[in-house]
Amino acid sequence: MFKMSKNKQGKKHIHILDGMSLYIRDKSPFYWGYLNVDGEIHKKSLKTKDKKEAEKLLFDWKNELLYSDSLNDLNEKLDMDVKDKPRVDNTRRKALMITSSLMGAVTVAGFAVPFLSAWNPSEKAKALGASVKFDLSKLEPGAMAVVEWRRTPIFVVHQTSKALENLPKLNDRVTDPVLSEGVARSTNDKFTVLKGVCTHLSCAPKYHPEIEPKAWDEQWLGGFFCPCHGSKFDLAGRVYKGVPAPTNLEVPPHKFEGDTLIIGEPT
Amino acid sequence: MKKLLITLLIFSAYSYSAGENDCGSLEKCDAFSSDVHDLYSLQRGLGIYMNYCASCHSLKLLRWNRLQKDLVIPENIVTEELIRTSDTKIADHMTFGMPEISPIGAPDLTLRTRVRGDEWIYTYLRTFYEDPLQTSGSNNLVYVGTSMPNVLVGLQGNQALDKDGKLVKISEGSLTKEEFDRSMKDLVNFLAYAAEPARITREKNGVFVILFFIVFTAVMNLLYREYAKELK
Amino acid sequence: MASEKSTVMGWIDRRLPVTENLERHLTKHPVPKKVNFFYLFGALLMVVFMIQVVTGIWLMMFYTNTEEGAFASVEYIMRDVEYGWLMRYMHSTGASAFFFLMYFHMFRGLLYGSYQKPKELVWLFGCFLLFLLMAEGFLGYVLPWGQMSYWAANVILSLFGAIPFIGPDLQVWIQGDFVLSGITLSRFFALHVVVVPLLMIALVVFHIFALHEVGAGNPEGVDIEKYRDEKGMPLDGAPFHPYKTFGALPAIGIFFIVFFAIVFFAPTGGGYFIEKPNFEEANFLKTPEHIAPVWYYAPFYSILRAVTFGIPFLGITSKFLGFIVFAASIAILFVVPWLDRSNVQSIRYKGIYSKIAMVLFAASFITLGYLGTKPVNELRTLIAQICTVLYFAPFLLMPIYTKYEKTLKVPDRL
Repeated sequence: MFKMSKNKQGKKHIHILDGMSLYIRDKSPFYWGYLNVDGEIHKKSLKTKDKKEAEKLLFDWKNELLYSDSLNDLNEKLDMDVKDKPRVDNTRRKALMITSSLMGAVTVAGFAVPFLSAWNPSEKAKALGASVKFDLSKLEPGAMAVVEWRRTPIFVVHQTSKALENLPKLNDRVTDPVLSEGVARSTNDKFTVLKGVCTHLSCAPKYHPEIEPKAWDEQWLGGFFCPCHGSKFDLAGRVYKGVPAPTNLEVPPHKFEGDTLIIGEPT
Repeated sequence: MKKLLITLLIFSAYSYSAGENDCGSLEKCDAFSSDVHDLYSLQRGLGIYMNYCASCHSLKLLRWNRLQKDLVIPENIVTEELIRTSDTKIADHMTFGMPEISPIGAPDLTLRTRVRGDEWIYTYLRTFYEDPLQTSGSNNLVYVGTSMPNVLVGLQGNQALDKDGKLVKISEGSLTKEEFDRSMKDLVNFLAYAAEPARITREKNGVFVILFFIVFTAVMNLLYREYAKELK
Repeated sequence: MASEKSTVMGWIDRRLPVTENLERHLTKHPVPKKVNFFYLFGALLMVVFMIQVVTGIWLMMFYTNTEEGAFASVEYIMRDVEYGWLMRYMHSTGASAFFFLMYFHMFRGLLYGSYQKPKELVWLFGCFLLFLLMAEGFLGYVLPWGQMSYWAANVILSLFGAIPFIGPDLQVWIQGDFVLSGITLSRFFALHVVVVPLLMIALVVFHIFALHEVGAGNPEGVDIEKYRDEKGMPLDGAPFHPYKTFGALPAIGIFFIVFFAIVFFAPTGGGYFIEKPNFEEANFLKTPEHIAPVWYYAPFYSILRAVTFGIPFLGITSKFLGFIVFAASIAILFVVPWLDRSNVQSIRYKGIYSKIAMVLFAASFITLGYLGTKPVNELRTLIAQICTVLYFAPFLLMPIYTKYEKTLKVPDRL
């Protein structure tokens, strides 16, 4: 680790670092220290016979000498050995750090966009989920058709005039009469379009258009009954009071074009 | 060492670029590289495709609505003029009601330009000639013995081989040579689009990504230099 | 000690030595001050590895690993999935970039003796990574189930069939079928997305831990550990962070410029990154006219083809001998640390024979790569045979020339 050499005066030098060495003088039992700090030469006896300790004392002494300079110089010297180094410009450094952090953030965000977008419905999913057309001309009054849209049964009910008369009578018995949506809850007075999914626990409600006393209701005026947990809806899909289902059957986006019903496109 | 490396790199770049061009009986295919950014060319190409190719060749991977959006065609024109049947929805693929290999054996063309290359297709379409030995009555210089009949004969006019094996015109078509070549470029452009619809966005947006990373590199280099000063 | 602080970090440090390890591997890990651009490929490899993992996971979300669905699902990704084309091209370009950087990274190791004592394990883990990368690339190339996927896989799998006695059974076992089929595709998918990447991650960790134990090298082959300052930092060293981390950033920027230039403007690389026949679905009745490997296997494929003779009296066919030589061309890299007898590390201080050997090796590797993408003819086979000899010679003769050649004196400091 250490180079031993003899200089002209016959003193034995132990080189430690550039500008730092230990040496032994003929008449002294101790190690002596030699320091060259920025061209200034310092020598003194370290008052110890132990080499390890002498080394440590030499480093301490060097630090001590360096402490006499300004704090900034000291930092530079400690960091950078004894060579001259450019002064650190902290403002510039900070500005660069901020700019590059921003660039890094933009890069990460830029990478995130395609990866997050890839989770959107693909063209295939969109094609499968596209709107469905249904011909209403063959649906008799009082009949119901089930149309599949986005893997959901859609109930299309052709209301009878009797049913349309009865519906307002039930306004008191349903939780949410939604009078603003019109009697049939669609843009066409004769047809009601509903998602055939019970709003309680997603069972499929059954269509019971008959006006007659039922096991679940003495004054049944026609509607949907869910066999799973006994939820009741009227023919416009409005939920009765006092049943497990919390809300009316949902109306999917739909529009009428003459005799054609388009499910999946808003009006 | 650096000089050696540079020499090696140049050598390797040179040797890898010297690819062989496979072009049937021709020594080289005619130079052509497709451009998917010329909207009118793509639309003209679609027109030629619908008139001359679509009766036998499907495009089973391309959706009508994708085509409608990318080629900026009004939706009603696509449904009424191009699809023409209510069985096909606009989100469906352009199969024209055919299976992948049509009843007469014509393959699907969606990825053809990627398999063969633009130059091959462009040259192939223009080098049909009369050959009574073929069942279809015509042969091709690029794909010798092709079973495809020369459906473009009305546009190009008929060609035959002379004694030296060169093509000579033996009847005029409805288009001049320049017009026909341009039409075939349109068609190949359209096929190149069909092979990779994303190429339009890809090539358009790529420039911004590259520019961003040039700025990124510049800033990061400044940051690095700021710290590297200390290591001198 | 950070662990005695009553901060959140202190609380964590007492349970998991986060600060200690950050200091050990990042903020206080000393690396040589002066290195050249060759030393940036390791960092870039990490970047590419991450790109491959992330894009790979996303591709896996849309890919179908069945014979009927694979090809169509790739086109589904290219067309129907938002930015699916970008994922796919990043992944395919990433594969090429991975090999490109890997070859430079390893050539750096050969030039500057990064395999010499005590870095043998670092080098060995690296060689294993090359092997795994080649396997990973091969498995991945089969997945799009295009014509080239199918027929290139057929070529490679038939090599296993050439092994005497067990060969045919082994091939059937690997395929899980009597021909290459959807059954093979499914298991290749599992290997490609789980088994090989997991092994690679483990080896990358070992590679880096071993490196941090023995310390990074430098182009001079100087041992920076010799001279330290009072804080124990080598005088010719600098902490990994910020000096090297910030140094990698412009390199990453340049890499991304090139990488995305390819992704956006030449994703098929003129047929060298994604080959033309691979846009046609695999058809077991129709072989492509010319089966060429992707560029990164071309040198090894060339070596395989260059062996046109067997050893009949030992019952070794030319096909099997080709396989042996091909395997040896990779295996020989593993033993390099024990072939080099030089007393210096870097090519800069080695003798003229070492320099000639490196030039010959690089030139033959590139020539073999060029030949591997071309159809064979007599002249090309002859050149490939000469280059195969030139590929092996620098390694096989290494114990001799490194021992006897005259080396220059290595300086004490960088």
